[in-house]
Amino acid sequence: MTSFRFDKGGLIERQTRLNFSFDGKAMTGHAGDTLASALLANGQLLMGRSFKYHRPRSVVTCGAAEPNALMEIGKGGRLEPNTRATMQELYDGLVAKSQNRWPTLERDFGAITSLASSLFVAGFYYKTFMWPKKFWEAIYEPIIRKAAGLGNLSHEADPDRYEKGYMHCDVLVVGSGPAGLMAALAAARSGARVVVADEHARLGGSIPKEREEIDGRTGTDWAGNVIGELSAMKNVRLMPRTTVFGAYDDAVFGALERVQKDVAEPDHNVPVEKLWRIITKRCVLAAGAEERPIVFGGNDRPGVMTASAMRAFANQYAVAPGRSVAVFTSTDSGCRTALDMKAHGVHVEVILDARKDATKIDTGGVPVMRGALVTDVKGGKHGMSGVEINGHDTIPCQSLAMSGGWSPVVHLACMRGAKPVWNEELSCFMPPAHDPWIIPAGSANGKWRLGDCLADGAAAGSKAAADAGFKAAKVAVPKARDDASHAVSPLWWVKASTGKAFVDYQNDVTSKDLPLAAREGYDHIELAKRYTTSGMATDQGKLGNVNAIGILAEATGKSIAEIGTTTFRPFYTPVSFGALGGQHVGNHFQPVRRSPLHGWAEKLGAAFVETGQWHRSSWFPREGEGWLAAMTREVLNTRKNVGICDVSTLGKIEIKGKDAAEFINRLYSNTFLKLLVGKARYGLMLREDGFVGDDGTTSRLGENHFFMTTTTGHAAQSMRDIEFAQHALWPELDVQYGSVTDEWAQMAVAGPKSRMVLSRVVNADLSNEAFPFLSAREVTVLGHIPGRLFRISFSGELAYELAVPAGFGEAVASAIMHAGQPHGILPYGLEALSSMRVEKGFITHNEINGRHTAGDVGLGKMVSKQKDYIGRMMNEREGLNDPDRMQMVGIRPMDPAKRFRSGAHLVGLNDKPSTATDQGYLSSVAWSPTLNSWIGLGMLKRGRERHGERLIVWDGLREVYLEAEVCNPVFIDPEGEKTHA
Amino acid sequence: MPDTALPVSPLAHVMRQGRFGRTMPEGPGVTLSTVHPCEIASVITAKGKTSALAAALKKDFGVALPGMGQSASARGLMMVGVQPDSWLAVQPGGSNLAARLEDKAGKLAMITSQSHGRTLIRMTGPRARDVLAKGTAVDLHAATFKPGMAAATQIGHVGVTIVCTGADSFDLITLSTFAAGFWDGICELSLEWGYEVR
Repeated sequence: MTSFRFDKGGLIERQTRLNFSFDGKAMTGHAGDTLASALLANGQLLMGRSFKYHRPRSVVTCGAAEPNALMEIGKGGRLEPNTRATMQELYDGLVAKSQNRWPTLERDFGAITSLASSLFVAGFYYKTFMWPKKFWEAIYEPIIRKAAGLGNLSHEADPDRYEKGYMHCDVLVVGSGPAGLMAALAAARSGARVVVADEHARLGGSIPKEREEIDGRTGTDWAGNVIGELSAMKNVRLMPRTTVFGAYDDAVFGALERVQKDVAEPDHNVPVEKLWRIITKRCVLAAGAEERPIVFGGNDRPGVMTASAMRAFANQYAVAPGRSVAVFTSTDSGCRTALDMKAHGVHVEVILDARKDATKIDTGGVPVMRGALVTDVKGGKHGMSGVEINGHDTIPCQSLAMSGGWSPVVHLACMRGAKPVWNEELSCFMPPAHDPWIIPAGSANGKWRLGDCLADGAAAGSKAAADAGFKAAKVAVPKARDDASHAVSPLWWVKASTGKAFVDYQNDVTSKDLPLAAREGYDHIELAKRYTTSGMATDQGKLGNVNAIGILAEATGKSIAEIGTTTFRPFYTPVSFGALGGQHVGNHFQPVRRSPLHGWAEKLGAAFVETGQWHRSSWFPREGEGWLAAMTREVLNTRKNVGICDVSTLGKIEIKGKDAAEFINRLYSNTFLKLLVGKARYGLMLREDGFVGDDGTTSRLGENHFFMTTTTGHAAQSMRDIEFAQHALWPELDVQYGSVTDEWAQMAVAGPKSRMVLSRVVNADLSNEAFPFLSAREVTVLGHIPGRLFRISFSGELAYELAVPAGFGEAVASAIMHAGQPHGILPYGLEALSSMRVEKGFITHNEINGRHTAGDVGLGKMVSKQKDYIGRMMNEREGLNDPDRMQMVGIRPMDPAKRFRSGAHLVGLNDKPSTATDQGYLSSVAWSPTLNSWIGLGMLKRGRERHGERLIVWDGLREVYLEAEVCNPVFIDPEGEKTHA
Repeated sequence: MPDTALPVSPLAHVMRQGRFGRTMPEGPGVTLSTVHPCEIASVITAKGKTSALAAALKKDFGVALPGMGQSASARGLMMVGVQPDSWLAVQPGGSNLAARLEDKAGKLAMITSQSHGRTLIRMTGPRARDVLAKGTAVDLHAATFKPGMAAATQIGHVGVTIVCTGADSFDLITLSTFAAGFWDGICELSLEWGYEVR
């Protein structure tokens, strides 16, 4: 192992020792280290195995673009795979594990694929593992996935908390390097609300990574001062460890804040990560630039890294990958690495300048070889021993810095569809011009010199503040060295390479794969990406894409501008699912709606069922009872004595106004204009396309005062429909409405003894004469509670629904239970309610499923011919009135104990079940305690004229094949005598 | 027989008094409480009756009719503009608010009691805006969302009307059937800075 830590220097806290482990080996580092720098300091150059060929790999960058040094961090449920060691802050107790190797990183069995690598070119899997077809899913894919891949999950639940939030500002500055800090300063001094987000733990961008002077002092001094000023300003929010990962419509950005990713045991009160939606007026994109590797033989050997990464490791972390360095460059900026490494006392062997005619610049005495191309790298998994030049000479060195030019980090500027623009002179893709919201600055804007970056940042900050409506403040641009030359002559690949030359490290895409893709017809950049996998996976080609484009351009004889880039999409870097879920997990996955009678039902031992957001009391089991036994008992008792059921979940809408009656009359397909005050009526609503939409009862409580109920599941949609009708269809009507679903606790009291029970609770004459079926009246309950009493029945029994203000619900329900005790009252739940409604042939959304008309469900008489209403025109369509349509019927199995289920199909006695022989289906099924039989409601072709006919109920999913009889869908009391009793 | 004199709060089974979450040297970041009972009524004007309603409210209740996103208070009655031509009237500890409004303005607007249908949660403290920012997309900056302002929004997919009642004080009016889960959610978002339930 050749990497080591300098005795002095860097921005690490040498007095703070942190213990960590890598593949079980104990190591130490310092506060201020990343995992990558600490590993280098411990001589651990080998950090991972590559995706396909399992080649030994080390870090190649010092930041977000790292493709190689991906690790599993943490233990148990906290384990996080594919973490970039370059971005992971070191903390005491950190446990890191290398990935994609077996059995160990040192001896990786998978590396044998490398021996046969000439076979494993792009498209190899698709071409090879084609037959037999079913082997792909069963055999080939699992094996390939095991061999090729990234880290593993623990399959344990994540014990940590994540949160999401919103943030608002006038100017969002992405990046806190020289340009970002100046932009923030300019915008903040203008009075704008500024958010500065930087993905690194330490603010300053490139400043701590370089040895540059600004305003006559060290860069870090200068940055410290600016950061100090910014953090003292109330209108500035500094957000280190925050990656702005996406740009969305208008000026909304997504950002991930790593709140507690730098501790072993997070404080459970605080989320480990926060996902922010940042809503800004302008964004200054000062995200910097990524240095491009050069594609040459052995460019993936441990010890080879970008020149800027080598400088950054040396300057910020005081580590180097080897004791002697060579620099391979096609730009002037590569030479800075030679100077910096020399300053840290590392021997610099030579600068290999690919350009034959580069202008001479200061190299601090390091010899320069012009026109030198690295064709291979010598060495093994623990480091390199030298580089092969132009195919023959070998120069000994322990590490190699490469510099192939710079690519502005344009991602955020391109995520809403605009493409970056190739700039021939700067040899890079520039952010698209004229974005109304995003102002690129600094090296993200193609400014390579430090002085230019500072000035560009200040100008961008002022412009952003001015665009956001502030008077831009003047900011003096500090002096910085601006003599550095950044001339670049692109060198996309070293064709003479003898070793394997990688374009995309993470996916093991070599310089040969792209021309192959072009030859095989995948010459469009989007196709070439998919065919070769160049630019895929967690790094999304941050390092390799431009080289890939350059190589593809050469292979196809097109220009780079013609080839263009692939599509930029969120996320810039990976975002955990935990953060995307935020606080909406477990019980908070979706809102929970609790009926005001929930507590009452709970005390009576109810079992609850989730129906959408509601938790509804489903049955009230006694000791040893299952749902069927409980439901049976509840139904029989209700039909014999009296039962009470929570129906608070029904949608309830208060409607008032001069035109309220007319309004309601247009909403329902049946008439409501002449409904008498004090009366309730069952109403049917059609959708605009003529099919049944919803049903419910509406009661007239006063001349211009109505109370409408909708089904539980359709309540919100009905409210939306009503709002639309009033605002868009009939704005001329004087009508007001509002949801009162939450205001009222509502309970059904049903059964032959319900009148006797309710009379003791409600002060009203409930006799059949005074309060007949379909009466509706405001009453006083328990002497002081205002209530509403309706004589309506969903059970077919003599029944009432009583509504009281929600906070009194429990008290009133308990009082009814008390009053009902002598009469044998029992609570009943959703199951009993459903069974009784099937026994009575009442429809719910099982039948109102968007495929059936009023006629289909036997409610054709409720469609008025005398008036207009929503859905009238479409309901008159020929097809909706075809006598051959399915019609609702009852279905009884010949053997009453044989169970069938809704969804089963109905076919003729001698038919083989098929689409052609299909005649209908079962929409609702229940056990009828009253009939001691399974019964169902079904939709059957011409069903109403087929009562008495026998047919087959076929359920292919559950292998049910039963003979059954078609009957009247009203199984019980078809004349409704009980209801009217 | 249970006591029927007082209505039960939908928060009764989830509220626990005390200090929770992170212990901060400067004290809890937010303080949470509920106002119960609290008289609430929705007021929706009849066609063309908005100015008549404003005059009636001014005359009989002394309170102005604020615009949308605004609130106005007088004599313990707060009017909050939640939709065009639609307000919530809020009177902590009052009685029969809907009936009193109906009596004076029943011909000008639909008055509906929501005293049971809505639940009022009061949140105060230096971190109140930070907690709410984790739930709502409304810009809550002190210079933007000032005392007297209101917003109809969502927190955790639950509709809520937020009224800024003071520098760091907010009334959150939410639907009662959602209130218990909403309360849990708000508490969880408050853990980070510590919270006290009163």
